[in-house]
Formats: sequence, structure tokens, C-alpha cells
Amino acid sequence: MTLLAAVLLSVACKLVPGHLRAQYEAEWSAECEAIAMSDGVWSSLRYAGRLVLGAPRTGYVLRTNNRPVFFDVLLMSVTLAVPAMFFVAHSAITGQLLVAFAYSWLCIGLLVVASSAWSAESGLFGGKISASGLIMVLIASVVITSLNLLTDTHNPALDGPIRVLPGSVAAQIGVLLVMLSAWLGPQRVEVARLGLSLMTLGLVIWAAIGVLNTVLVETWGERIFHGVSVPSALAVASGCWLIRREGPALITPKPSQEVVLVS
Amino acid sequence: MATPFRLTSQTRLLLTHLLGDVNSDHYGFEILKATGLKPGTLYPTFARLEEAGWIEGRWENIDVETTNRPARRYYRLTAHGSTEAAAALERHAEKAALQAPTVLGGLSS
Repeated sequence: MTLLAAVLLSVACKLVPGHLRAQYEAEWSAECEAIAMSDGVWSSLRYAGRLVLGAPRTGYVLRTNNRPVFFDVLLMSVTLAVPAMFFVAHSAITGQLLVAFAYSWLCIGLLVVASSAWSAESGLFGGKISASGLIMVLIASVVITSLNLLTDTHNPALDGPIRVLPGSVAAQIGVLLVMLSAWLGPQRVEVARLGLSLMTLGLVIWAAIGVLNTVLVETWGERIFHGVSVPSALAVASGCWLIRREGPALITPKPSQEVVLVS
Repeated sequence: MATPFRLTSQTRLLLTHLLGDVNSDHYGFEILKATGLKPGTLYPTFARLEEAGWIEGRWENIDVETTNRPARRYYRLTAHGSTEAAAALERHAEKAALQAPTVLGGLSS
């Protein structure tokens, strides 16, 4: 095993609970050695790298006594819902009741997605509740964008020297595709993956524009709005990318394809 | 009968793979390659299944000096685990088949 693989393994093992560390250290280093001998050093390094990337989740799930592996979605939804609640309050205070209502609807949709992810027994996008939450999120975000474009409502999260429209539209198309993949059935894994890619791209664009707006705006009030949006957008973008990487495992396979029973 | 843990799609994928060859020992890297699962999903699932008594882990029985590498950790379904896993997957398949597409189309198919 190379020194780099050993360092990666050491990092990965530090992230798992202490009482299991010795077992995982022995298991993973033996696996790395065996892979290096059979598949080569690069495969061994790749495996060690994947272990490091997966170790936070391994540690989290083991520490929290086998909580569902869907916690990424819960964290993503809550990450988006927190600034959305902030925007509900702002819209209500400034008397923009329709915007406030749309943001509330967005929050509820996100919490529905989160709750369905937390209790999901099937694939992530295979449940009616999860898809209903996505529909609510989509309707709310389209309403918020439309109100911003077509009326004179002032929405500090969307307004600014540079409009976040390209990012928000890409993210909305992404949500639409993810929702469609749920409708079309589990065989449409590629649609879901494309949707997640678009959501990631849209949110990264949003965050980049948000950073520029934070610099360019003149008042601290507006700066706070953009400052709140940027970390949320980045966190959710990384979550979307992680879920996209999981791919087929998160989408319910068709019963006829998934069960191979032994007699 | 309910399973002692959440039967997620990843867990089903792993159980299906293990059921495919109940008499063989399986190890982490082989399962990752075969199922496409990620390490962050696979190892907690191993822990969950082992805790429930569905699989058992054991260290590979090799002469470390001859093979020049440490022993791998192997996993295989227990007899109890094989029966329970097959039944749970069958129940899931039946449940999924019963959830015929309704107004929401293929949502639950």
C-alpha cells in the first residue's frame, strides 16, 4: 500500500466512531493491499479516496444508530428552507403577501420532501409524498420568479446588480426533470440524473452571481440577503451532486428487475 | 413481518447481490463493483445487517506470510438472514406490484 493510500485510510478511519475504528482500519487496509496486488496501485488509491469521501456518511450513520441514508436530502431541504423562512418574514414585513405566501409554500414543499426522504422505504424519487413535495417546490419557485419578473415586487434575493435568473431557471428545470423521473417511473434514472446535474449547475451559477451581487450591492441589508443565499445554494448544489453520484441506487428498481430469489 | 431495519433500495440491492450466491464469501470491494453502491452506504449497511444477524463477517483464513497481504474481511448471509432476506424482498416485490399506477402514473411502480 502506498503512503498516500495509508494517509487517506487514516483520515477515513478518524471519521468513524471510536469503538469501530480498529475494525475498519484493519478491514480497509487489508482491502487496499489486496486491491493493490490484484488491480494495481491506482485502483487501490481510488478505493482509499472513495472511502475518505464516504467516511463522513459512514461515521454519521453508525453514530446515529442506523438512521436512514437519506439524510443528505433532509439536510439539503432544511438548508434551503432556512433562508426561505427568512424571505417569508421579509416579504410579510414589506407587505408583499403573495411573495410571502409563495415562500411559505416553498418551505412546506421542502419540508415535505425532507420528511419523505427521512422515512423513505423505497427509492428517493419513488414515493408519492416526495414527488408531491417536489411539485410544491417547483410551483413556488416558478411563482416567485414570475412575480419578480412580471410585477414590481422587490425581492432582494432575486434582485441585484446581476439577476440570478439563469441559475434559478436551470435549477427549476432540474427540479422539473427530477419530478418527471418520479412520474415516468424508476426506469428513467437518466432523467433524474440530468435533473440533478441541472440543479447543481443552476445552484452553482446562482451562488456565483450571489457572490458578485454581495460585492456589488451598496447596502448591508441587501448584502445580507445575497450572503444568506450563497452558502445555501452551494450546500444544496453539493448535495445534488452527491445524490447524482449515487444514481441508480437511489431510484426504486422495478420489482421484476430487482428480486433474484433463491429457492 | 417487518424487518428490524429500514429496507432501503440500497439494502435491497445488497441483499439481492448476496442472495445471488449465498454459499460464497463476499468482500467490500467486490460488492462495490458489482452493485455500484458507495462505501459510505455499503459499510453502514453491513453493520446494520450484521447487528440484525442477517449476515456474518469473518476474517479471511490465509497465511499472511505466503500471500504477503493482510486477511480480508468476508461477509456472507446467515441461514436466518437468507430466509429473512428472501422473504423481505418477496414482500417488497408484492407490495410494489400491488401499488398499481394511479392518478400519479408510474410514481410508485
